[in-house]
Amino acid sequence: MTRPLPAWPARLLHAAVADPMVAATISGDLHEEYLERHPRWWRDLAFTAACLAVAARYLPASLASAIRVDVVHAARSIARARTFAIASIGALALGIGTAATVLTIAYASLLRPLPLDRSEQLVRWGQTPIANPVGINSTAIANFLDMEARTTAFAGLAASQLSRVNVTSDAGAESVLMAIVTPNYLDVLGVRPLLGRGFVASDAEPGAPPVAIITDAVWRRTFGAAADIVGRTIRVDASPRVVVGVVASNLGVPGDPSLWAPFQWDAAARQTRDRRNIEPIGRLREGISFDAGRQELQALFADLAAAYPAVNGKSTIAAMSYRDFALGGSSPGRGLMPLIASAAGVLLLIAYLNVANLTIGRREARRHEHALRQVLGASAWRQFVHRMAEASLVVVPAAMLAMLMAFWAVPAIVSRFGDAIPRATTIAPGLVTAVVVALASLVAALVTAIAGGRLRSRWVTPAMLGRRTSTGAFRTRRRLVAVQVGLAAGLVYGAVLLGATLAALVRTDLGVPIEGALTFAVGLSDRYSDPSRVRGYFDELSSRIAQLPRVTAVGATSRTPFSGGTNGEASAADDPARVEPIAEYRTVMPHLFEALGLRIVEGRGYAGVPLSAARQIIVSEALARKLFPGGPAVGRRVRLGSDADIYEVLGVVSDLRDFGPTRPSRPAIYLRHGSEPGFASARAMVFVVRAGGVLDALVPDIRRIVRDLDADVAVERVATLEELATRSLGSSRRAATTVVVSLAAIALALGVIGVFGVVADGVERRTREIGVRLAIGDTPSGIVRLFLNDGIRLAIAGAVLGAGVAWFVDGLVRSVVVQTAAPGAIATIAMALAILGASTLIASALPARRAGRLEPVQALREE
Amino acid sequence: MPKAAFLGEWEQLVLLALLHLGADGYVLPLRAELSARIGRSVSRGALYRTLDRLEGKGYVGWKLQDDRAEARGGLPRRRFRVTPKGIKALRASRRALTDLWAGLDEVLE
Repeated sequence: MTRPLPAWPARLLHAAVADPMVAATISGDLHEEYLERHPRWWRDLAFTAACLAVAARYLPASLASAIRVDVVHAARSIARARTFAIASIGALALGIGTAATVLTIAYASLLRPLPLDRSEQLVRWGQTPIANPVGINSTAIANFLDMEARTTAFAGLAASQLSRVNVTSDAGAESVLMAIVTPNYLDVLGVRPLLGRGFVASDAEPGAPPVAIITDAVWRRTFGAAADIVGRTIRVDASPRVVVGVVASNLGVPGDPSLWAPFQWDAAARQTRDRRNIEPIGRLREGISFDAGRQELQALFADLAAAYPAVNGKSTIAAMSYRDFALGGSSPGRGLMPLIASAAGVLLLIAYLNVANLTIGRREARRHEHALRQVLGASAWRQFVHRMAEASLVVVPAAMLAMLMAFWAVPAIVSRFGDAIPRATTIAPGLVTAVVVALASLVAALVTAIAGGRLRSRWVTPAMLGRRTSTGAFRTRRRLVAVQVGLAAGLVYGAVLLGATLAALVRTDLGVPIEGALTFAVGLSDRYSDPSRVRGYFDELSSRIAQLPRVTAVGATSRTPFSGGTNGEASAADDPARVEPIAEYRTVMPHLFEALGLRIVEGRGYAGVPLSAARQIIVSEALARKLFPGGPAVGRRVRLGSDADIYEVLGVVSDLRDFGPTRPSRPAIYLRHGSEPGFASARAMVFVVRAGGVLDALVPDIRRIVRDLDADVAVERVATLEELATRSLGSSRRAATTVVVSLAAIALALGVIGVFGVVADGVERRTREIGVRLAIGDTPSGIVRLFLNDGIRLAIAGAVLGAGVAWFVDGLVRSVVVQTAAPGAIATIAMALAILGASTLIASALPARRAGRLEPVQALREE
Repeated sequence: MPKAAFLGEWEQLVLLALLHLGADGYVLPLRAELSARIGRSVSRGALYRTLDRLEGKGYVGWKLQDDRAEARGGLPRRRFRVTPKGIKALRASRRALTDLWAGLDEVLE
């Protein structure tokens, strides 16, 4: 169906036309003309314009002619000043559009309330080490159950565990995020199912028929919004589950799980206190404050710590509002938002100053005309109406362009940087965009009207009828430009700081060649309960992929490269004093080192070594140095964790920066997949395939091989090693750098245009002086220098003002950049000044050159 | 003959175009016809105001029709026709013009 046309223009038409029947038919004519036109925004715009045009004809004749005279006159004078109009409209549209874009995204991602009932009552809590209470971790099932039984401050406590599962439908296997939850979880969140029912206590009893709740998005995407979805059986990790309900997507749960299922804890699980694997939340009772709730949780946990000192003794409880948790906690994305919003605000301010500057310039140029109008008897009111008409001719098109820009930029930014923005999938331009554009435009109209201000004197003096810019206005313009340059300088400083940091991070050597390798993840369901079956599957998969053309090595590791991992203690078995408390543990398939590009620096790799009971490991160079300084590591013995597991070092490989360029490489242990102990038989592995040619071309073959081996297994998270490396820079960091650098570039461009305008104006004002100077023997190059100095003085004034802005920006930026890669303040200032100096020099060089080329006689003839 | 019987140029154009359209005397075809015949676009507002004026003088009349409501957002349209009084006024104008034209062929050719 065609979307209806906007209603308000038609209503306006009805108000203007006296006979309602005539009004209805006119409105009908316009509908018939425009309803089917495309694109829609153009159709709405044209329809609105047509309604306004017809309505104007029906206004009382005197009013209509008065408005028409002003608008037509204003339109003519704007049309004559085309450069002024284009520059003002362009500057305003950029400023307002940027502000609208940034605020739309900021509002939708950070400020808009969560779609949950009274979300301010929701708390995310968890255990944290007393010694180092940063972050909120998980808790153990038994601890959770004990606290749930005793709490009085909370109306409900609930817990969840996220896991990736394969859902099989007619379309094939799809890997989705599933939240396994206590049956009251959705009730605690305050979410009611859209279809069917929520979970009930009996769903969570061990042995109860497995059930699931799917989200609206999955219901539509995977199941075509089937009406009979409730009661249908779906296959999750190859085992059946009955769908009992459908809930909304985007509930603010981090990761936005597509599937919900209840925990089924048996008696043994309910006693577990040493494995912290569930993430608890809670809803405070009416009238209980967040602090009171947290204190109660801490007191309850203190009892548990006293009762079970071995497992709980070193922990306490930390809590944060669920809102902060859902919106990314203290992730860099949130810290960057104020920075980007400030940059957008500064840009808007520069745009206003720019328009004020241009308007003053134009007012001066038209002083003659204004004075004439006044002499001829135009009332103050009439002059004001004229000025407003002129302002609206600049502001209205700028607002429309800004709106278009926001409608284009918001989806573009969200699709490019979505993973750095909380709730990205729900962001769209709308009411907030329109309100921001409207308010910013109103301010712009006021700025334009004020800057175009009334002539100060009631009396028209002969000087006012002259054509030269008055000295007062010229000074005001210079000051405005200096402020613009200053603001731009501050933004440039921030952009240099962010850009240089990112560039330093990109250049960082990660320890392996990142080109020419493809990675993907494969997870086996718990049907593969026997370690030998798991090993068999992965061995078969590796050897089949290795046979593909162009593939040179296939390996697998338990963690996606460059994205951190699991760690534990490692020590030299013969010298307990040599301990590495945080060594990274990876479980790998034999050819991982070749596939990833790690060098064997001592001993040998796992390739060609039979998988025997012999407890052998490979360690990284950093760990070898730490545990066995000075001597060879091969053949030495390593103790893993606090248990008695002792391994012999088989080989040493080069270091890998496995946390990305922002963190140094860490000592690492590479256990062989399938060897003892049991955790080295992980069912989920990340494959690394090194190959020549186009990597993407391998993906269909790999998918086919995986499907042939087991149709219930999905290939997940396909990415090149290079993409993983880029991702490890932090998507929010890249997003913020791109955005701030673009904003600074626009700001600098506007500032430079201001410098150009003012220096050019100066040349015009001083033409006669130039003539005199040339006549008494000054050289053209001396004249050029004179005006270049003028530009440089503006740049210096701007730089001094900019220091204040830069100081403010510095604080904002340094709190979010990686300190180790960030350039120092002096280097940043030097770079920012170089950029500022070069651009103002170019901007003043153009008018200065023209001044140098003036003919003395002609110059003297002026006036 | 009363003074009001003389028609403005624009009024004549609208009345003549309506006569050409015959049964198809709706605003949209009328505007298209006028634009095509005089070779420039016609302002909607001016056209509606002229029709109002002609109606006020009794030279045109209209009937409401609901036949295309779905393409018009559910709104009716007006079918205009020239009244006998309008035809009389056109005749009077033509006579006056022809009288004035007579004998000027050599000057204006």
